[in-house]
Amino acid sequence: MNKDKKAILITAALLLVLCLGAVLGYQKFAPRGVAGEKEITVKVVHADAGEKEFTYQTDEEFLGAVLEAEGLAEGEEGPYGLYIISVDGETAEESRQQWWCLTKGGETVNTSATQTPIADGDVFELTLTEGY
Amino acid sequence: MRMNTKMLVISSMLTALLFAGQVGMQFLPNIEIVTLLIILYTRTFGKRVFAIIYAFVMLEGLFYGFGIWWVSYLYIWSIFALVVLLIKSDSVILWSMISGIFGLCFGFLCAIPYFVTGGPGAGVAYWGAGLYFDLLHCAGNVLLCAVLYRPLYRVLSLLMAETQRTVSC
Repeated sequence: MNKDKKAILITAALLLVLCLGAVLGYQKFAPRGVAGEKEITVKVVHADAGEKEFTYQTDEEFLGAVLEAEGLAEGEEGPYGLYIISVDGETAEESRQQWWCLTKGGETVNTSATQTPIADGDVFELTLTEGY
Repeated sequence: MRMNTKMLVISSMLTALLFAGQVGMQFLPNIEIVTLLIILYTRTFGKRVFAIIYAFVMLEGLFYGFGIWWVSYLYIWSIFALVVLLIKSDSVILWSMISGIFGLCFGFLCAIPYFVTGGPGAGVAYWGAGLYFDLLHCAGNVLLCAVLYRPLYRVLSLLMAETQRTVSC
């Protein structure tokens, strides 16, 4: 067996194992919504540091759907879900490097609002942040 | 590592191409041409690729902002270029699979700063949330490499040969 064939076989085996690992990992770690009615709170922190709190009763499983259904946030659908541009009437200005930062109980959220599951009693914050 | 004027101009052009390729394909979720171009640049220009990589990383930071993700760019592409430098093969199949493996590992490599700053929980959460996109990244890399490797490698090899010929004249 020549060197290339051997390398291809080893690499193919490694790729297969990693793909299987990624699929299993995705099944284990993928964000999942919970069915049923729930109450969530969304705190909006505006550029002038003014805060507003919104409480919603919903059957939705993900935050993005609630924000859009309630008309609190607007944005563009990107490859990773909703990219929030406006919240509570205030628009993030790209020229000033403004963006809406989503946190849950003050902790960073690693998913877009569309992929962020919600549970009863969850508190989210949407903060207009300046600077990337 | 010495770089003459012509090489400097070509490196700048290739950096611009790398950056344009990234920006132009950013609307596709984790489907990118950067991995393939890094393979080709490394295979064609050897260690000079690191100058291209860091110019590209700087452009990315200036364009998108120097967030925590940018820290990972400081090592991700260089690690990949080092791997490419170590492998001596002309097999498209092999390079396609290697770029696929890199796509799968990309999320983990990006998660390292989150492991450091937020602890294992934050790192695993970041990595886990992106596994679906790592799978897409893998598939996209395999496909793009399988289709574009040969024609682009031919073009870059011609460019390199021409550069060396005119420099030695």
